[in-house]
Amino acid sequence: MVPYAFVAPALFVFCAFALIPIALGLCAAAFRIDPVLRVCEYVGARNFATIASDPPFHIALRNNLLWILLSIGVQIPLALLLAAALIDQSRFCRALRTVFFSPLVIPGVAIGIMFSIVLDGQFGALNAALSWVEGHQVTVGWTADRRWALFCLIAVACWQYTGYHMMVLLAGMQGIPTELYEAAEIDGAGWWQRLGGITLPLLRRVMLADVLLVAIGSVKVFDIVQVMTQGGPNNATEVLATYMYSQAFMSERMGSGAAVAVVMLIITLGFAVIHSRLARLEAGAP
Amino acid sequence: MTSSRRARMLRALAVRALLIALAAAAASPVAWAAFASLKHGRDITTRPFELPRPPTMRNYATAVEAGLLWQWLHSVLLTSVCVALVLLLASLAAYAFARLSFRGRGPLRTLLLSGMMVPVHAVLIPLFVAASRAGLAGSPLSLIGPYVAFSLPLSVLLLTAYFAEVPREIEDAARLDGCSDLRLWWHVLIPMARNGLITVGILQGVWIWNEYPMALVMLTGNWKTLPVGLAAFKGQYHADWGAVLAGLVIVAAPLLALFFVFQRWIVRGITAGAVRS
Repeated sequence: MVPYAFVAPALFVFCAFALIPIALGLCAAAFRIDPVLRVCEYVGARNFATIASDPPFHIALRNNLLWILLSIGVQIPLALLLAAALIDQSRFCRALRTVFFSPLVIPGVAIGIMFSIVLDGQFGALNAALSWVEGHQVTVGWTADRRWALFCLIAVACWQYTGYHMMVLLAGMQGIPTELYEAAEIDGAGWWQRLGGITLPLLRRVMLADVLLVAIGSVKVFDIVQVMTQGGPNNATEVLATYMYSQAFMSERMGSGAAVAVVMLIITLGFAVIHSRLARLEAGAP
Repeated sequence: MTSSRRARMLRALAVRALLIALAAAAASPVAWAAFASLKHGRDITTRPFELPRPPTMRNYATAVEAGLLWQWLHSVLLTSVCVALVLLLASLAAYAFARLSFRGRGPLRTLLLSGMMVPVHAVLIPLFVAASRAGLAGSPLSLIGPYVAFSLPLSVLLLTAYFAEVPREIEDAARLDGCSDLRLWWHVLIPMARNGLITVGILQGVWIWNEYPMALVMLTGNWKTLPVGLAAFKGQYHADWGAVLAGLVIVAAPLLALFFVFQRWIVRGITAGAVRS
């Protein structure tokens, strides 16, 4: 019985506060829940039909997709270049790595608030700097302008996470034998040739796994959107997580909120399954 | 020959300059916020790029009066309780998974690890309803269970790997002397895998300290963690940028300071947790 006694406390807490709530969340999506939190009646798939016909839900899906694609397109190449440039243990490289990684330890809420001040349309530091460069007053609304808002938020996310992916890729690069690089250097291969000929092919799996991490993170994104735009202006920056929050906790439509949560769960689990398949493939090699 | 060497040196210098410029650009928003938090109200907008002359602490006084220091204490308390519980429960389970053989080990492990990438949004509604029913709405107690539960999968995974690396010889000898599993766990594996425990503790600590959606939904009363408190503070003082920026510094500075001191651990912990973003 001893082994079970060791595992039981963790399993109990996990089941009570994660697994059972997840199951209840799945069930909640099939019920109508009234504002005083009583479960009223079974409605089947009606909550899903409701959100499927709600335009902001479509915007949220599209925005999450854009968020995934742009984050991957910006963060992974940039992280790869930075990791390749900063791989050695000199003081210079270590110092710069620290700078690029540091945003990760700042709470997302604080980052959101900081950038909403920097990007403010009237008095923000970015517009002040641009005005100085351009020689006339720049008053772009950034997060208040529906053409720019989503791209600003994604840019903030890239600012926050690129350093992290740099570290993940760097850890992968350290597994590549240095003899390969030395041999290539003797053969006269330049930096770019070594990156394309050795690093990229050997890092393919790590990069693929990292791409999936970016995708999973992009589906869950909440903090900076909630703090900077709350999905506005006019739902232009709505993402699944903010839409779920506003449905369930602002509009008192718990059923719809639960349905959105189920959609989020399915998408992340889909990515997670692919990720774990890759991890298992990789398990043979370090 | 010399000209090609000179060209290479020039190129290396140019790359360095570019990297430094990138790092400066990346650090500039934080640096700007820190300087601006020391300025008198109007100077932040009228002279955004000048040094604070003279620097003022008034903004910090406003932020402290609004209760940010209390929320700081709340976050310290909640994070330490949760991390302690995570380390206790996860290391017990990891001991069994790494050292003991029993029926159902594989399935139980899979069950536990299945929670790894689940978004917290999937449990917000059920947990909120349950906490309201139990009369725990707004209480920090409502967060301890979920935070620990969501930290466990990754912690167990990592600690099992760390425990597996500890050589078995000491245990084998002790076991022959009739030492119990509980004592082996406490006297051998915990001290030997200290690095793993620190790494996992930091990883989960940073996650819990920064967690927003769950705290936002559950902490409806006066008891707030820093992210929730900071967001509320911003809502209340949105016109007073100086105070908001000072609040930001109060929230971010301790974490950044910790990061610069314990960098090695934090980087290792967070990249080890490459499965959660």
